[in-house]
Amino acid sequence: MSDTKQIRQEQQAWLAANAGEFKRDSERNVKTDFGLDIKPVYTPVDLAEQGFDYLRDLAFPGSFPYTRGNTATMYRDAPWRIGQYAGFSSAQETNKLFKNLLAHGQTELSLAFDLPTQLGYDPDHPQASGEVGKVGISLASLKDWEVMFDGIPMDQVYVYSVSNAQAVVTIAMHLALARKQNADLSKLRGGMQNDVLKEYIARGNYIFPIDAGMRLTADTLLYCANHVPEYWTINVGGYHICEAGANTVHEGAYTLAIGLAYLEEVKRMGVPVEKVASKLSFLMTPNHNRFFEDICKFRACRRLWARLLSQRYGITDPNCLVFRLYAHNGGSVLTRQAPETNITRSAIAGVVGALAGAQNICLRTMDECLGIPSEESQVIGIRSQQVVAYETGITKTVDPLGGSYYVEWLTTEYEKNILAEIEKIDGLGGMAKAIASGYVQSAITQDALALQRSIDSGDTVKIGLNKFPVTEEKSGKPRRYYRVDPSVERMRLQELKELRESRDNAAVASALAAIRKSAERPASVDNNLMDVIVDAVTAYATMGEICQVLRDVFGTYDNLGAA
Amino acid sequence: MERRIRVLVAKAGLDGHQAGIRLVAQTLRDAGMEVIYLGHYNTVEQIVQAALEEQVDVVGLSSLCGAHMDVVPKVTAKLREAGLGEVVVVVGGVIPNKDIPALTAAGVSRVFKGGTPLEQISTFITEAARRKHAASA
Repeated sequence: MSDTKQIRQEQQAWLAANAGEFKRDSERNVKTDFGLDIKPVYTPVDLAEQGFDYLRDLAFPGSFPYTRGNTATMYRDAPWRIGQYAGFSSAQETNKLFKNLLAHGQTELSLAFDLPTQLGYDPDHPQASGEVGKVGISLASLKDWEVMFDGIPMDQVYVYSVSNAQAVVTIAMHLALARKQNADLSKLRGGMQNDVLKEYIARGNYIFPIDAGMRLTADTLLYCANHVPEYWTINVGGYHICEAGANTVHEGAYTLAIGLAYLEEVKRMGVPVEKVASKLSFLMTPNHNRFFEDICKFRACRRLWARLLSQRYGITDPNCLVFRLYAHNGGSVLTRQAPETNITRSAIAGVVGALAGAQNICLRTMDECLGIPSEESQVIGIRSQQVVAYETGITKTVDPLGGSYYVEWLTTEYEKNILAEIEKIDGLGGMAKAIASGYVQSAITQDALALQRSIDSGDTVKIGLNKFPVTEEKSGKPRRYYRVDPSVERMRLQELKELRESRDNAAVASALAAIRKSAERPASVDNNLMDVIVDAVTAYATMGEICQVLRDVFGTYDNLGAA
Repeated sequence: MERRIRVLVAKAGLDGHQAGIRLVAQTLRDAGMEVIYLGHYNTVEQIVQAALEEQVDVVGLSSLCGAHMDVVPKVTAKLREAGLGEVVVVVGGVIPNKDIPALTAAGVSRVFKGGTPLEQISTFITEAARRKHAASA
C-alpha cells in the first residue's frame, strides 16, 4: 500500500514529466467563487496535509459528525421529498394545482403566497392593490386554508410554506386547519420558512423591527416544540443569501450564524437550547454551476453544525445535531434566453442535492425568468427529480462521493472558511448585531458585484446568454407561462367581505384585543403570542387584522435606503 | 463641464428583490452618476415626489413580482402630471416580452430584460440623459 512519502515522490516525478502542460496550466485561473485555488488533481497527500481522520471527520452516516448523511441508510430507505415551490392566485385554483402535482408524484407541498399575504396585508389594503395573487396564493384567513386543502389531508401530505415576517400567523393557520381535519399534531409533518433575519439582508420581505422579529421567532420555536414535535419550525434561508449574490462560503456562514442566533434568542428567555434545536432546518442552494462546491458546502455545513452545537451547547441528542437540508436551486443561475436549457440546469442541480444527501429538493422551473411556474413546467421539475431518484442509481449507496480526494479536501476547506466567517459574526456580537451594523449586507453586495462582473465579462459562463448567445428572434415562439387572472383581486375582495359578514365579529375583536395585550407585555415563556394568535385565526381573524395589531405595537423596520 | 447625471433607482409596491437595483446603483455610481437609491416598499407617489425634489434626469424602476403593468404606467403618468415628462424612465426585472409594447407606449424608454450586462444599462442611461440635457439646454 503506497504511503504519503511515496506518493509525494511520484507526484514530483509526474509534475516534471508533464512540465509543458503545467506551464500552460499555471496561467489558468481555476478557483472557487470565494477565491480558493483548485488544483489539477487531488491525492491522499492533500488529505494527509489537512490531517484528515476518517473516524473523526466522516465516521458513518447517521452518526456524529453526520458528514456522510443524517441517517444510516438514507435514500436506500426512501428518496428525498420532492417539494416543488408552487401556488396560483386563488385557494381554489391552487387546490386543483396541488392535487395534480401530488398525482404526478410530488411528495411535499411547498406553498407560495402572494406578496400582500407575505407582508401581512389583506387583499383590501391599499398596499395590496395590483399585487393580489401575482406571485402566489392570496390567503387571508383560515377559510382560505380550508378551501386550499379541501380533499387534501394534512396528516398524509408534508406541507411547507414560505412565510417569514408573519409566520406566527401562518403557522397558527396551518395548525388550526390540521386540528380541524382531526390530524394528530404529535405526528404532523411539515414546516415553515419562518426566517426573519435573512429578510433584512437578502430577501426583503420584512415587516417588524429586528427585536420584535426575533421575539416572534422564539415564540414559534417554543410553541412548536410543545405542540408539533415533527414540524420544521424554521428553515433558514441560505438560499436567499446566495440569490442576493453571496459566495458559497458566505452562504454557508450566514446560514449557520442565523441558526445560532435563533438558538441564542431562546436561551436568553431562559430555555435550554436542546428544547428547540431539533426544530431548525436549512434551505440552501444546490447549483449546477458549482457542482462539487455545493456538495462540499453541504457536507461541511452538516459536519460543522453538529460540531458547533456539541461544542457550544454540549448537545448530544442526534435529533438536535442533524442538519435538515432543503436543497433548492437558484433562479438567478437560469437564463431567459433559450429557456429549455434551464431544464438541464435544474436537473443537474437535482443531482447535486441527491449527492449531497438533502432531505428535500426543489428545482426551479424553465419559465422562472418570465413569471411564476406554469403547471407544465412544475411537472417537468417533478419528473427531473424522479429521474434522479429512480433512474440514476445514486440512491444505491450512502454518500457515494465520500472518500473522493477532491471532495474530502474541499469539504474541509469549506468547513474552515465557513467557521472563520462565523467567528467574525461572533466577534460582531452575533447575527442580529452584524445585520444592524450593515456588515453582512456589505459583504453580500461585494460578492454580488464580483459575480455580476464575472458574468458580464464571460468568465462565468451562461449558455445562451454570454456563450453561444441566442437572440430573442432565434428563441422561437413566445413561451407559455402562467398569467394571473385579473379578476382574482376583485374576487378576493368579495370573499373577504363575505367572511367578515359571516363570522363572529365579537369573538374576533376579543381575540385581537388579547393579541394586543400579550404583545404589549414583555416576551416570556408564559406569554407566548402563538397561543392568542391561534385563538384569533380559529375565530377567522384575518392575516391583515392580526398583523395590524402587531404593527401597532411593534412598529415596522425602517431600512433607510442602504445600497 | 458636463452636468452630472442624476438617477433615481426604486421599486414600487411590495416586491422585495433588491439584488438587481443594488448592482445597477453601484454601476451607475462607478460611472460618475449621482444615484438616489430609494430601495423598495415605495408608493408611486413617493417615487414621483423624490424625482421632483431631487431633480433627476432618469428614473429606473425594478419589478420582479408581476406588478409592472400596474405600477409603471402610474409612475410615468404622474411624472408627466408633475411636469417631469422629459425624465427618462427605464425598467428592469422580470418583464415578459408581451408587455414591452404597452410599457413603451406608457412612456418607458427602455426595458432591460434579465441578462442585460450592467455596462449596457450604464451606457444607455448615459446617452439618454445626455440627450435630455441637450434638449433642455
